[in-house]
Amino acid sequence: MRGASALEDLLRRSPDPLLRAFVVWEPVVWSDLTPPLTSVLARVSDRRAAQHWDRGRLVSAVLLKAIQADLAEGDANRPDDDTIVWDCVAIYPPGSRWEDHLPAPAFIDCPVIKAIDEVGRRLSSPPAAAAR
Amino acid sequence: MIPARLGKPALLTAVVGSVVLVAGAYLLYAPRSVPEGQPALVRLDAGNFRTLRDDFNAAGGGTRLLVLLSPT
Repeated sequence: MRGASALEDLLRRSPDPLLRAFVVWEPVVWSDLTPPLTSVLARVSDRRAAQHWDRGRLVSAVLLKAIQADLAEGDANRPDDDTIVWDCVAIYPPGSRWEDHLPAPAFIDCPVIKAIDEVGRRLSSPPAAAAR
Repeated sequence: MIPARLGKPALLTAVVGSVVLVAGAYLLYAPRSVPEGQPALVRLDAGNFRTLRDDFNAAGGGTRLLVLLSPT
């Protein structure tokens, strides 16, 4: 929940009209039985956001594959196959396209509350956004 | 109407059960409205997952953030 508020603060500070935030809510703990209530969805109120309820954690699965594909076998940072990607924020630069597979993000970090400052720095200096 | 012979434990159970039922119904059926100006909440599944990809690509003129969160 703090991650959602941090994202909202970031969007408020980022004037770029072309910026889009794809917010994916997914069940992680036992209490995540149902889609987020209106009060939860309201935590991200920026018009540039689109919110999704991903009960089957489909986005987590494709993002995990993208991250794994970007890291060599044996890399200490390579997540296991059963990893649930959550409370994370990923940056995709302009022009990056999702064809057969979701591409690896230019930047990803978790938890959102800790990563958000770095995301803000990268958004304010676009060329750096593509840097790993 | 509460039967006269209903003891305190049974009454407590009935009350707690009712509260759980009401809370469960609320969680299941309460409206899920996104803030004004945003597209409606999309409930992703295998059948419509492609729409996320299409929306992602349609926004490719700018930077995109993909944020995964837990509702609670």
